[in-house]
Amino acid sequence: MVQKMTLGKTREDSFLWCAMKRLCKDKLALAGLIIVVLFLIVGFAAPLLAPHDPTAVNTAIRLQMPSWEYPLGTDQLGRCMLSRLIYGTQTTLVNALAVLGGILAVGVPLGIIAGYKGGWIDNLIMRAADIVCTFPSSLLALAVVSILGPSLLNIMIVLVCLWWAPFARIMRSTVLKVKEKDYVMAAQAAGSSKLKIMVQHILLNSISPIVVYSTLRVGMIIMHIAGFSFIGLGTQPPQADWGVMLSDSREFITTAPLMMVWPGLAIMLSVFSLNMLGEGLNQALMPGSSKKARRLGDGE
Amino acid sequence: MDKVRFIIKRILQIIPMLLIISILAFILSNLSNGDAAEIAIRKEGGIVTEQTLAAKREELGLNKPLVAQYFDWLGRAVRFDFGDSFISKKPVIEEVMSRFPNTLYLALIATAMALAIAIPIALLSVKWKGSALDHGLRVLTTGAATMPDFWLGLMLLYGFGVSLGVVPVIAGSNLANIFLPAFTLSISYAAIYTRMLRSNLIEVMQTHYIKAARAKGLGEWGAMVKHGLKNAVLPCVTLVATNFGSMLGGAYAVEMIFSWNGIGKYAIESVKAKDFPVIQCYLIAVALAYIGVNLLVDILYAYIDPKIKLEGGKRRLWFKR
Amino acid sequence: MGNETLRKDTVLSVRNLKTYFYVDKHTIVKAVDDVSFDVKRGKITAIVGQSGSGKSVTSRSIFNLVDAPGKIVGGEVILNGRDVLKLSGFQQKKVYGKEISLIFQEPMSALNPVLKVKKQMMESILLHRKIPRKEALEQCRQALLRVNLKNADTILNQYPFELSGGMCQRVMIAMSMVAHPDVLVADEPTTALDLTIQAVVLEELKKLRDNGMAIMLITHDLGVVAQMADDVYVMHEGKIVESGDVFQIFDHPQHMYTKTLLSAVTEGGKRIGESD
Repeated sequence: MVQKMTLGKTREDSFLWCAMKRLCKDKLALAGLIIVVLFLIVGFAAPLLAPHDPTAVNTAIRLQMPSWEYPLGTDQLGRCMLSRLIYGTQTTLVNALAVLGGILAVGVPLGIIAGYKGGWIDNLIMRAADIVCTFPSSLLALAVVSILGPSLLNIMIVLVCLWWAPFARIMRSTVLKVKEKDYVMAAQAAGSSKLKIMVQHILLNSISPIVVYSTLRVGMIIMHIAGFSFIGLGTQPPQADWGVMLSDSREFITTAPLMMVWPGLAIMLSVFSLNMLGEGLNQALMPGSSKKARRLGDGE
Repeated sequence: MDKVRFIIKRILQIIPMLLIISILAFILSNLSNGDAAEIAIRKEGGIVTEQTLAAKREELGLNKPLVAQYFDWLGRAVRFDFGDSFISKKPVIEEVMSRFPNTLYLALIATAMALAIAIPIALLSVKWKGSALDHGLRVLTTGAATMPDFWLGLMLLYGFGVSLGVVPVIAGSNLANIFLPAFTLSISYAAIYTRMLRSNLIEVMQTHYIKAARAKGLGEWGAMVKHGLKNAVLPCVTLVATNFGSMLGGAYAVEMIFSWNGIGKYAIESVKAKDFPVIQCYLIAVALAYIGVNLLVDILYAYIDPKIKLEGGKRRLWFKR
Repeated sequence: MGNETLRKDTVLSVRNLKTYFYVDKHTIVKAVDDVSFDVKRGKITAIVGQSGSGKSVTSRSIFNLVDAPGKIVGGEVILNGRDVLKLSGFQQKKVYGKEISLIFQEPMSALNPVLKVKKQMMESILLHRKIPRKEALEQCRQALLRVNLKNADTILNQYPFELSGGMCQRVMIAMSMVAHPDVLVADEPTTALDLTIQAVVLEELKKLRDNGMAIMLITHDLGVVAQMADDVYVMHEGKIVESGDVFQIFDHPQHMYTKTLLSAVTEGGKRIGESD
């Protein structure tokens, strides 16, 4: 009954190579990757690419339509929209990566400690993770900002405080998995130090979910930072930031509607491409467990 | 007995959260740089001197020890007496409660809209799973999920308000104008629900009871709508309720864009004006509402749907924003 | 003339049915490969085979329930003189559940857990006949009583997970009955049940046969076959390897596979026909 016609397949391909091939097959993920790379280039080469100074005010040319001189027009203070958008990319990227770094710096060690030590420490950390997971982020952000004053740094701190939990969960479950495995003991018997082996295996086992989850998280971080900047509690003017630019455009919705198009597009495109890339990476790095990272992250 | 224990456990889990929120709301407000007394005097147009400052501090109870201030405040808070707004001088609870219905309507209608959008789309994409339609809808929902609501709101306001002139740009909070803000708010949730329903439906469609229903002569579509949908929707209840709870906190951005006079917009204005009693009341009220909704769902779940518990299906929190 | 009566007796005739599973680009699993058999009125026709022999896929194919990656690639399912696989979706819906019904292996999972028994049973009637709901409810109650469920009124208002496996299976049988089908396809109806309840369910099926219904019984249990079947088809790796009436198969097995199957049972210490 079972008629298999398995054609010759080379199974020697390395894991990374396979993952790359899978990723390239997923057209949406590939598109996401390309856009993300473009954003990175624009962000880090901002001074080279921007045609004007993003903060140079010139009220004589305020609210202009796109022209050769100002490809995306000018804003209410006569600043070049394109340059502001490009520098906004830089701030957004730097901020988002800083938050991600913070989250990893808190979540990863906590997860490792919880998994490695077990007992009451584990309990304490995981209960804390439960609590921050159910905490509505906007509520805490509002509380902190209302006290320390509106600033981007405060928003970033809040995001770090609330979003370390998924990463701690990923690390903890990896550590527990590795701890149980026989090969740790085998390697130990062979003379290698237990700690070294464990670190190796933990890194190897956790890197995929961490990469996938980080990619998806950066999108959320960008969205939240832009959102808080938009309502005036995040980045403060005159710094160029997508959320601030959108917020500025509100007053000119009737006179200069184009002003609100560009920053919104930038936010959406960046988040969209990060999500596509994240999902593609999920399929590519962890085939067969398409929802695993998400479950580990937000599920109970 | 299991149900009772489960509910008690949930309540115990909630206490630390309430405590943290109340302590944060209180302590942090006292550590702030801005001097509330000074601001209040300036607001009234008074002159800031040592004497007026001291008097104002006395009036606002800002000179007691912190712990005493906290318990003072907590004692009043449990009686829903949050004092007067620094700015309007009216009782804070009145100010918040007068705006709360607006937020409640917005959240209710946005939730209903999100489901009304998500259910048909999920059904269509499962019916034609793997087709171009399904892929197209997948891209569309991912796009919608990543669409910042504050941008969508602005674009809709421009489209309908400025270009078409169908709605006033500064509409105010009357129910006739609720459609646009509710729609704006609902879109990203609709996208999340669509994805969740789709994957639940696909799982459900594999089950024997769906096959049995089809064998009865219901057809694939009939079996999906009459038998599958209810099973696919039930696990979403938690998420929908959780999100509804978050919406009660007010969709700041959406409320601001559409000048919707809800508690979210009020909270932001109060933060900017350092109107601490309002913020505190807002934090506690929203936390209570959020917790209340979640607890209610847990309890309902424990009673209504023993099947889901029997199957060992846990409440799933999808990616929430 | 004899040929004419034969054709009249045969309610369901499966001809050269082929259902393949396209697992991936390089793998095709021929789950059902050129299978033909007849199911006659007033007889129990058993399809016997080990798990994985393609019995269940055969029954699903009859109901057009094969999901991707599976596909019915050829053959006919002739029910009351017409090929149901060639009917339009709309016409199929009128046939399934009315002329032919299906009972599943796992009674617990074949009933929708979130709908009351009442709703699911009444649906079986109301889908095919326009009668008042009250009348439909009464018919459901009668059907439940007929399968020995004495507290029918309670059961109607219960959810499937509140019932035991045996009760669920009897509900399933009752549900298949209410539409008065010509053919009942029972896919391992007793496998998930314990022995005493097995006996009850098998008795119900026998009663139905004696009332003139055509029953297609799919099982791996030769004991059940010996007890119940009139005609037997032995299935192995997607093909019918042997067929005949029950005495012929048991007394003079021709095919190697049938012999192995039979010896496995007798050596297992179970005497044929006394499985219960």
